[in-house]
Amino acid sequence: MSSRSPRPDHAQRAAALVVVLSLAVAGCNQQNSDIANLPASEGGPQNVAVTGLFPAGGVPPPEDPRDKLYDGDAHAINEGQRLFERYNCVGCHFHGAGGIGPALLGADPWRYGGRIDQIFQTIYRGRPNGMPAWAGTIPEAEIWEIAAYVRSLDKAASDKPIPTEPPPPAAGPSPPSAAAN
Amino acid sequence: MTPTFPPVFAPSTGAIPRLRRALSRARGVLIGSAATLLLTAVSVAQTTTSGPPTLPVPPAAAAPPDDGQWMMPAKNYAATRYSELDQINGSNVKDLRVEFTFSMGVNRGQEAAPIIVKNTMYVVDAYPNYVFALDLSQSGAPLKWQYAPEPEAASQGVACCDVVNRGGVFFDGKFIFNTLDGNTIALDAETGKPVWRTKLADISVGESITMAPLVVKGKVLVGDSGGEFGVRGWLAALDAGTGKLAWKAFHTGPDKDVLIGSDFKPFYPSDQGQDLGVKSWPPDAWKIGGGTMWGWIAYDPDLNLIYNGTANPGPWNQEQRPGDNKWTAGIFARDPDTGGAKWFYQFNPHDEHDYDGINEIVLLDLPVNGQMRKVLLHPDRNGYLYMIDRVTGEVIAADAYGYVNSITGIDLKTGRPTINPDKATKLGAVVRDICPTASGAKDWEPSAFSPRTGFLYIPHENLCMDWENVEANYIAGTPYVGANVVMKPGPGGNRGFLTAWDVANHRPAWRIKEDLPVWSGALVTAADLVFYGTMDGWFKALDARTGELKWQFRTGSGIVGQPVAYRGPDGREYVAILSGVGGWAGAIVAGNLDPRDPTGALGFVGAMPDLKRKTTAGGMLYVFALPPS
Repeated sequence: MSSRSPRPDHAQRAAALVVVLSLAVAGCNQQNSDIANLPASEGGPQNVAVTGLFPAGGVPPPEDPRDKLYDGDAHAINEGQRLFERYNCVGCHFHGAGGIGPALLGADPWRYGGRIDQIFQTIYRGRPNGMPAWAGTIPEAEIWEIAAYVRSLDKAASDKPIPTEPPPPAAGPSPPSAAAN
Repeated sequence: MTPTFPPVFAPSTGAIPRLRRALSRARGVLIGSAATLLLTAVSVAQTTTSGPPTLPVPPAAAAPPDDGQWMMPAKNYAATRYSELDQINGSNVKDLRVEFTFSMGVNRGQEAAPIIVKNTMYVVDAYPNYVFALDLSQSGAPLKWQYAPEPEAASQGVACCDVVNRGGVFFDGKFIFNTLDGNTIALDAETGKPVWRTKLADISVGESITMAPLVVKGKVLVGDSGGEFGVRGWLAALDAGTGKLAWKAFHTGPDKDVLIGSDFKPFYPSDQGQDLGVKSWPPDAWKIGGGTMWGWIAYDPDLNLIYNGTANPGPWNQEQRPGDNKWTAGIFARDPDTGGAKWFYQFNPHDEHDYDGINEIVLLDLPVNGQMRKVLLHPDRNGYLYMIDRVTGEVIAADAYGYVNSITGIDLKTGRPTINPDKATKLGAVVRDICPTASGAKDWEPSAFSPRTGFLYIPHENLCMDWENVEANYIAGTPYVGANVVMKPGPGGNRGFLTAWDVANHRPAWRIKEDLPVWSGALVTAADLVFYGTMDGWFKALDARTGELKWQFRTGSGIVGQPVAYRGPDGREYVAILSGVGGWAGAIVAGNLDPRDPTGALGFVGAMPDLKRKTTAGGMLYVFALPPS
């Protein structure tokens, strides 16, 4: 199985990350430089808020710089789609409609945030109402790719009309309804 | 190909070969056409019986006289869901009105049957499975006690088809029920305090529990859910007094695990042999092969046998599990004392359409070809209503009660369905318009039988599907399915039916088309009224003989529950139902799913995009009665 073996694109992405991080690092706190010391595929986002409420004048933590590497990246999305099936995400969320897990297309508002680092965190840590924790099972670079795919589902659905009628019936004989004696 | 939907008033395909054999023996003639056969059969019936033909009846020991209570979801061990109460009748039902309501506090699929014992009503909620006891002796039925079992929240992640619960059971001063996270709990019925709690299922391997337990001879029978998670299905028996495990029978694996011994006598050769629960699978596939038990159990005290179906094999992708996949998608007869298997019959050997065998089993005695037979009726997901000799496991008849094109008939010599190869599922190919769907011509929603009419009132679906096999990858605790499914309405466009099935004559007497799948159970009363609910919230009463709509009331949400009738402390007849859309069919509303992807909820979203504008989520008990006279 190739999913755990390093791929060339990871090296490229690591290089890109260094650029992004060195831009970000200048005015940044200690935590971000900690992230900078990690390889590209190691270490989830450190500070992901799942609320919009920050008491006493608090401010949201900064976005994880890796968001920009994966979010909207065609290769990450393609890989993410494959991994979404490989790790059975599709068994709960299907192709975005949801089922066991919530919808990923926008019908249901994001419960823990819809930014890519928030989605990463949801996959990595799990969530209390049934979302499994995948940390340690799915390599983190792959979690980023799955998160990129999930984000892309939401974006792609946004201009699709929402069906409100059932599809046409299958062909076959229709039985009579009430046939009283 | 020939459609297998039986026209109204035509003899069943299942009955024809037997009649033909009987007639050949009797008269030494060959009957050529079905029309001639029908006429001849009528004349034979007239010459061999005196007076009107006997209607089927449930065995008396399994259906004792009605005491006005409702102690188990199916009413009695024969599972008739027939109430002998007759105050509410065809003339006065128009005056039926809400007597009281009670909010369940949870807006998910409410599939449970209210249980009524000694002036108290007990109801179990969808996850998180609160139990409420209501005092019926006081006006407005105030809360007597409530109990919160606090199941693990993560269990919601292994519930395939909404976080439903099909109810509890009253036994020996206890109210006994299951939780989604796999516990069976007995509460003191007076106080609501737990007497015992036994953990049976393990969510870390995908097991959960949604079924209603049944108590037989002091043993609480419980089975698991999780057929979409690669679990290994089982039925367990707990001591009702202590909660200790008495026996556990697996539905796959070696004979000793399945509790198959020397007195196991299946009727058909294909079920005979050693360790078929291993040999009918690829190596080790039986360990994650499904065959759960999340449906209904019946019990015949005279024969001392319990009957339960087994669910689908896993994964859904049949190409990953060549073989018959015993003992999935079939029915077991077992000794309730030991769990020992007596016979087994497989409705769907090597099932490839998710045709679970867990639907209700109704016990009846009726004359077949002039001989009284002890039978069971089982309307299977595969669209066939089976009449099986409950002593031996022989299939007496199998009649299509809905539109079926995945199977062309049931071979009564071998017991095996004849599979239509055009609807066989394949890796990487979309096979279109398979009927019925994975959810079946009917799903879990239980039928009711009236000995007054001889009709089985079957709430069911009319859906078809497109299916593509994909490779399923086993990761413990996650779905193990391997199929992309999209469901759609069946022929005619109506997605549901309430069919009154004339049991003795193997044909529908009448049927009502419903726009939406009928996902509620049925109730029939001695006043010849049939009650059921619709997914857009109508609770209806029909004339049991004609199907005429006599009364309906719009509840707050879609109905997927089980109606019951009872006599209140004031002597009046009451009818109770939970309203609260959900379950597999209603997952689009209960789970707020997105119809832009029709594969959602194992394909059910595809057939139900309009449900969101026809109902909203809810959770409310409604109890109806006539005004006091």
